[in-house]
Amino acid sequence: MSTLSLTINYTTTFRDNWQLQTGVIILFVLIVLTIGANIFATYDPDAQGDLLQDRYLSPSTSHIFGTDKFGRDVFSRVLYGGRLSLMLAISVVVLSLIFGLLYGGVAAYAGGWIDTAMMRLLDFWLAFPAIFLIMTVVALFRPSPASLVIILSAIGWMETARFVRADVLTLKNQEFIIAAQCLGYHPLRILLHHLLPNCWAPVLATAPLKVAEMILLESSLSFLGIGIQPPLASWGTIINDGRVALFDAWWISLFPGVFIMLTVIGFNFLGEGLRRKSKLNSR
Amino acid sequence: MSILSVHNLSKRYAWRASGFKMKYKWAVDDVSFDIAPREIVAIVGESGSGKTTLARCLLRLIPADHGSVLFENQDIFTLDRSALRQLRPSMQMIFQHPGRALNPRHTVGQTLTEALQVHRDISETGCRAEALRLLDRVGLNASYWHRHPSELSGGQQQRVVIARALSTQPRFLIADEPTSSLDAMVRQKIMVLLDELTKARHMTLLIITHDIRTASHYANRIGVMQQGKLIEMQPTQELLSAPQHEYTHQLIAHAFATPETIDQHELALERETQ
Amino acid sequence: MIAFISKRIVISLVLILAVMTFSFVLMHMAPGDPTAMYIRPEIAPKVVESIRHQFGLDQSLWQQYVRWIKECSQFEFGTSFTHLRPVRAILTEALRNTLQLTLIAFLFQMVIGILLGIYAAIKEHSWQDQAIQSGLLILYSIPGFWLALLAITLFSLKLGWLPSGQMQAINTSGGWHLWLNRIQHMILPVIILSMPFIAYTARFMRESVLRILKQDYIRTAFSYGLPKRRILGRYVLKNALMPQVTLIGLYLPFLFGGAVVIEHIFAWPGVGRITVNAIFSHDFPLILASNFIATVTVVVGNLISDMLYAVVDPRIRHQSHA
Repeated sequence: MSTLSLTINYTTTFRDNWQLQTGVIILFVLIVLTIGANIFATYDPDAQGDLLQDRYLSPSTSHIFGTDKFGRDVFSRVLYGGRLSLMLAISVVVLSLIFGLLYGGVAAYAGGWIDTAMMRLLDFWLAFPAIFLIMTVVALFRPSPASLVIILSAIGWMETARFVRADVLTLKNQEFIIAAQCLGYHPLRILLHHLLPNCWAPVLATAPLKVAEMILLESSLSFLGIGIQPPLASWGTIINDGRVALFDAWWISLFPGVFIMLTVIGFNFLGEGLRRKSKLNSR
Repeated sequence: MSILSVHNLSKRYAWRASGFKMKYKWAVDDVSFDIAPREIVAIVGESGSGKTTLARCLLRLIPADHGSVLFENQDIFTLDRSALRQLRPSMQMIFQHPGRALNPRHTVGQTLTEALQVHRDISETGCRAEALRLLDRVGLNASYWHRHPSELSGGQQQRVVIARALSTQPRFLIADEPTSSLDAMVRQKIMVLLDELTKARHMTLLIITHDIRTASHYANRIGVMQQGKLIEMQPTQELLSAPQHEYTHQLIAHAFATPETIDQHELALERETQ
Repeated sequence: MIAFISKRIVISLVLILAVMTFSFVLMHMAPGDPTAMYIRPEIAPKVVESIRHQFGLDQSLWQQYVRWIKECSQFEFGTSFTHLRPVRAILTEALRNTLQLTLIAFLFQMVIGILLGIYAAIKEHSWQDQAIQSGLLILYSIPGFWLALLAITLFSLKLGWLPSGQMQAINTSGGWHLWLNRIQHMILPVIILSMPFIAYTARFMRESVLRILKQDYIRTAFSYGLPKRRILGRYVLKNALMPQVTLIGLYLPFLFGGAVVIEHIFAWPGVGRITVNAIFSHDFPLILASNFIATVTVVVGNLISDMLYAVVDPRIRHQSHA
């Protein structure tokens, strides 16, 4: 397929694919808002206001999402928190996809007892109740955004690894792999240049769905108090901040939740749209 | 002195029939033969007779169960992995489905330069020049450089596969059904190209085919395989005129007596040889 | 078949043991002494020492491990540091509460999800189908904990229709009053817990119904002019429900996982809530025990799925397992 036909194909399916369109638009707006938090945020997210006058202000023109119990501007906190949540979820997905790709690829390509051992290890990891694992580790070893990325990646790679393994198992008996062996290429070269490039397209298409999943997971953990720790703002922690004042100051919890929902919907639409697109293209 | 010497080579396939019982089928059954340098040998057999398995065992692309293969007096089954990789360039293979034998994501240029870069100590520009020379040698011009396999015809793909095999400067070449997936018009051109290259580069060629007529046209010697066994191997003329086995006899009779399957090209060729 | 099942059971047992060992090591690698909260000026070091002895913390790690594995195999998990009661008693009670919540949520999501899925499949490509599909996508994009907070604010705090938490009102007398009260307390947690699962089930159901509708024998049935209702009921539903059955085992761990957050918000005294509290108070025996329960749920869930799958699809039994 030439580059030209690829672009034409892309634009036509893009126009018909309303899910893809909606997803891209939602995510574009959200990413611009959160990446440009320094520009769009009207206040310092951590600056506490006057404790007498600025606490629990309801949404107005000066504080469009109101203020919290320390008089901090919720809108600014939502933008900065969103930047953290998004970056965290995306890094988790990137890390776990890379690891899953390598793990599944190596297991399938090595075959034999290495494959068996690696798959047993994967089963073991899969048997670990994810949420309990995170809660235990995060609560016992002080959580930071970096350690959170590692622990969330550690529970997110198995599905990808299984998927890639199945793909590589069918690919490795294809003639172009046998040809590469016949040419005396190093196994690592065969894995990285010939096997993996031919199976990462479908894996990559799952990325948006995984980001959505991770945003939900991270925000629930932060809400429970075992994810991102205050005073750092993340969508989950802001909702938790608002929990004590639900009746009087509903806006603190409402807006970050709307942002989570929009982001997750955006990524799910994007993922679903990509899936539909690849289905159409393969026809 | 032989370039390739095969002793009692056997390969079986196992599968689990039910529960824990294993069933076996000998795909290659006690095969022995020698090939002299610069010889062109053909191995003929029906599909399922174990030809492709034999070819892959000979180059240790799949492990054999018994026997040995000596390539230039070196037992390739006992070599360690890195020594085997060192030896690989000297023995190359042409595949039955050229479209599947090329990485779909690599362009013609990438495919050829990769092979050159891995084994030959030449600069990037040198690689490009050498790759273009190879491409030209198999009858493709520089305009194919940026194409992907899916943008080539079967014949063109097979030419790229041949060029890639040549890039490592092999001394021994196995052509596993090199033309059976191609259009009738292209078949002969590819065979002629292979034949010509083999002679010009002083290579040894082993043709694996189901078509005894093609085999007889190019090979000095022909072996016949039936159900994993090499039932006979003789110089071409002797095999055609005095086949030892009933099966060989049938193969020959069948191949030369069905004019409706023979295209004009091949008829003309036959007239030439007679 | 027996060989297949026994092999799977052995693998499952080994898995459980491995996970338990790992969590034990993890727990003891973690910084923070569980008796730290007893180290206060008014408590003599001797007392702390005797507490440590009482919980077996003065033994070597190996001794503690062996003892713990022995206890676990008898479903005894020692004494909770914080509740000062046997972990077994705490967890049986909590497990009962969690099961009440999750099983009802499970049945609820199954019924709603299957109905929605079938309806969407029959109406494929219509606006109803599109609406259901988009609705489902939005449904599993909503953070459950957030929705729970909004629901509490609206239905409990503002409107006062439903209770905001706990399992039942404190001063409820027995009999049907109690049950009515219990059901009231369950409405919000059950609905919110089952929402993402409704989406999964409906989606899966829609696809299996569609796949079956496209099979030759269904087309033949239609071409014979059999009534549509009968074809759907007799052939399509039966075959579409089969794969759903095999998924039952896989749902359980996720329901448990989801229940952690829901229990926390609604103050439902289940395993999730107990575990979150145990984690914050470094209550090792309790954490390890609930981790054990969760592991068993995951492994047994997978086992059940595998076996149901083997029953439904006989080809699996004969396949050699790598």
